Amino acid sequence: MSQYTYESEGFILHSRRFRENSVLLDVLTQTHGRVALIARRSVAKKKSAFNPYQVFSEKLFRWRGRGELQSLQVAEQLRVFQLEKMNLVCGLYCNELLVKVTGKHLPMDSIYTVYRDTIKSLASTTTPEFPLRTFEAKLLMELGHALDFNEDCQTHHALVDATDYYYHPEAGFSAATLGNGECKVSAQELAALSAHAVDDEHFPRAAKLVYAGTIKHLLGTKTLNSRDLYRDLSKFKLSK
Amino acid sequence: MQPKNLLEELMESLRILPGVGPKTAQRMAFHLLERERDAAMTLATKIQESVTRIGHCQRCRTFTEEEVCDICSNKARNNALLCVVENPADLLVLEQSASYRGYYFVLMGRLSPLDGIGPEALGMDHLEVILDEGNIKEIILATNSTVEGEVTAHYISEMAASRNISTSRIAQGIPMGGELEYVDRQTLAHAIEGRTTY
Ligand SMILES: [Zn+2]
Repeated sequence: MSQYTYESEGFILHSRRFRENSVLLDVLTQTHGRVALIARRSVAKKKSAFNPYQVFSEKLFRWRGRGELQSLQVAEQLRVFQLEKMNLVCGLYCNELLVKVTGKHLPMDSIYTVYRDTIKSLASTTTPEFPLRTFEAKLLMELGHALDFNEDCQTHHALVDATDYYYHPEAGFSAATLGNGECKVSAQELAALSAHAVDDEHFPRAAKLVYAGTIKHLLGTKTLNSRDLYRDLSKFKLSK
Repeated sequence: MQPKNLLEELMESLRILPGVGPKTAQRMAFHLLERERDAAMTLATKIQESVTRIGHCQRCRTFTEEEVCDICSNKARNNALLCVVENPADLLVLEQSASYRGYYFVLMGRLSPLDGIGPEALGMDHLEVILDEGNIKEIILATNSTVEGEVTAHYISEMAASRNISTSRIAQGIPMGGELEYVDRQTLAHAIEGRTTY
């Protein structure tokens, strides 16, 4: 049977050792979505202190094979993004989110661009929440869970003016209560969310609530370990 | 392939060792049976004893058959310094470099959200208890300079900062993506002397 060869730019989302001489890679590629690749550690590299499969570096991948697990031929380094401290945790959160909410082998060209922009921002920003919320918003949109700020999910008419709005990840926004599992945002918060005004004072709390709720819904029974880490770290900061 | 007899079972068992494939396992099995029967018996006993009796030090978590390891029970060391490493092998490398005389904390791993390895698995709660005793003035973060090692270092530095304990990071000479175990002793001795505030 003939072997297909593929080539694409990509980011390693996760790597782990497999047996003595191999590494299993979860790679987000520009043209083929997420793929699982097996890389054989060359004998020369085995004793080296350097791991060539670091996350947060964009590489040109060439791989071949068919089915679930394909075989990496070459990974050529294009650019490395140096993420530090809290931003590093945020980067790992993006990786974990992609691995847990997206399927394999689905073309995700726009998600790739969003991811690269996010990692690029995380390499320099002092406010990692901004790129993180943008990443969440765009990812949800690409996955078909864009937030609808125009229609009331209960009346199916335009959202009426109110002081508070209710949001449920399975339904959407409404001016009237939605019952169990909803969260409440103010009119100013809804406006900031709708405009994606990340630096507006009304944005952070509402965005965190609404995006986290929707993501939790998408995850089902899966948990986000990097979010727990983020929470621990914020707790340490508060107790200083 | 299912092992059919004891010899094949032995070969299969030897393959759990790192770097041992079927050919090497075969060579090892024949070597033990042909020429080293006594030593093989000692090896078997030692493995059995070790697996039964060696556990983790109650204080630093490294491997020991005692409740508290030799390093932790040595009162002559500097109790204001605590060096955090990922593995017992890293501890050994630092001890051999002879440039460090404080105590250790061995995580037995590193934070890795996607592998499901969180703070509890690394004994971070136990580390908090040690920090709360109030003796430690400086933590030296000697986790690997991989992404997971960096995240782990950041986590511990924040934990220490919330208790006003200073942290330093050995980094000089260790390339990003570097694993401590493979770094030569000279580099490491230099790295620990030249540690910088984290
Ligand atoms: Zn000990």
